[in-house]
Amino acid sequence: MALSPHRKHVEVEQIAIECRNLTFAYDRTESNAVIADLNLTVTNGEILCVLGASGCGKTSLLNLVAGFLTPQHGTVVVNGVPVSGPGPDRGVVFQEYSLFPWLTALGNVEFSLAMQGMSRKARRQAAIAKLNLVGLEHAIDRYPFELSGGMKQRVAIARTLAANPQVLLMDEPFAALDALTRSSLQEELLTIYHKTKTTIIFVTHNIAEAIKLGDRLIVLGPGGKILESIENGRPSRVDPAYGESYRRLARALNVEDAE
Amino acid sequence: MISQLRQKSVVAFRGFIGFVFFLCAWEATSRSPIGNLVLFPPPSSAIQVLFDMMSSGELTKHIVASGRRVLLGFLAGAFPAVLLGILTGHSSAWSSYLNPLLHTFRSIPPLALVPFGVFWFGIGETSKVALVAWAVFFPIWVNTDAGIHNISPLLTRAAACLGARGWRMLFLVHLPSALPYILTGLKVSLSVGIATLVAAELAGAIFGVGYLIQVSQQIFRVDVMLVGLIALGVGNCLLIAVLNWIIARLAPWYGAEQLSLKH
Ligand SMILES: Nc1ncnc2c1ncn2[C@@H]1O[C@H](COP(=O)(O)OP(=O)(O)OP(=O)(O)O)[C@@H](O)[C@H]1O
Ligand SMILES: [Mg+2]
Repeated sequence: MALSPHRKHVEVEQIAIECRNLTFAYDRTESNAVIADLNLTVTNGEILCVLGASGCGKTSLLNLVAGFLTPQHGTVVVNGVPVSGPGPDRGVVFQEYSLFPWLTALGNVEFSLAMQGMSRKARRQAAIAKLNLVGLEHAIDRYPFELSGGMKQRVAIARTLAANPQVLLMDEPFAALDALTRSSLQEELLTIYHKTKTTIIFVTHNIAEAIKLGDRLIVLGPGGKILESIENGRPSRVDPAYGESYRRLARALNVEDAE
Repeated sequence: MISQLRQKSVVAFRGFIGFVFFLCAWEATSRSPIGNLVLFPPPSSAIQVLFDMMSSGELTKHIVASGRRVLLGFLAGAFPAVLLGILTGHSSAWSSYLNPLLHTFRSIPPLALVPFGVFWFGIGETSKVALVAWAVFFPIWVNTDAGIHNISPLLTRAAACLGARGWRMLFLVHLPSALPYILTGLKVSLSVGIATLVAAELAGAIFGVGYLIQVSQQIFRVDVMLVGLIALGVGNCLLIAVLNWIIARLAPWYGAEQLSLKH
């Protein structure tokens, strides 16, 4: 796309995801809306972390952006295109393991490339490169049942990245993992992010994880109301800003100490 | 690895002992005062007859005839069963039209249709193949239907947001996902198909293992009847082994999740 000389146009192009007056209820009655009249924008190349009590609607929000759910009112616009169903421009990493059990790690990533129309020949090398990115070059021929939980999520991330999505939607992808694996996957995600600059919505229960990963952190309340929003800038744990962010998030989440 | 191999050979050896014990007991019973060498011949004479019939080519003729009917019937039943299972598994409209009808047909034991088969298709090949096809159809249809119906929505979603739609969704996601069910249906249907074929051959045929048993009965050759039973048992085992081999080649992950739990 040619660069537009008009400043206004440039600003519009910087918005990756926009939710406008988004309303959704599972039973289609507005009084029971899980997401009620939500307005939210995510800028290009931003990592937005979404926190919130269990059942507040984080997964529902992500599913609306992914196009698995259709809103009653309002729209989700991703890079200028209104969402009308799932598509490869929005990659999703699920909380549950979602690899195809009949394909190897390599096969799972190749599936994604095949959907993009890549030739059979080119696929293999490209898939190996993606698995390299998540440190799995030694396990490419293993089936999902032969992989640990952390490895499965790594393959899932590689598979999603292989589709070259414009935005990445991650629903508590590391929640089922032990602290150590979780921490190293967070590092890997940041490394990948610095290479690709993909816009990411990252849902998590873990305050420390949110502060470590997010450019911006929001806490959702009942009805998908935004209770708190923090510009983060990824402070380190020794940074005083870390403690401040932590306190604000914990207060919004109504917990003494969330870790 | 070595201990696993040893465990396997111990299990195989025990199975062999079971056979030897059974054959000895049988041999002793037939030759004892309560036994009867004509009505209840010992395994030694059955095996003797088995070798004679094999070397004369007499037995092969019957086995080939039966095997051909099973395979043709199996193919003729399996393809429409899988196609219809995909249809009823996918579409609630089609399943609401077809499922009650198909479940009603399914609850009729296929053996009960043998006399009808003879009526409608004669005692030739057509009736045998048609009966086998009918018998294998239902287990395969039911399993395919369940397999497609039970596809994890998570996998469908994962595929959809990678860009899979339409035919590619069907062939690359839904069919492999339902494959364990379909394979179970194929295994179950094989035994049902063979049972039905034997019944059809007993009811009237020119060749076939069931026919062999039936004519031997008329001439009081119990030893030849026993040869027929052995051929059926071994043949069924071989077919299942071939099917298992194909499954292992086609779907190495099939059953592997359960296996990895067993270790
Ligand atoms: N398929 C569904 N049908 C009906 N109600 C649902 C469905 N899925 C979720 N809900 C309800 O919608 C609300 C929000 O659910 P959602 O899964 O979005 O919460 P969440 O914030 O992701 O929770 P968690 O942190 O536990 O994953 C909950 O009250 C839940 O009971
Ligand atoms: Mg959730």
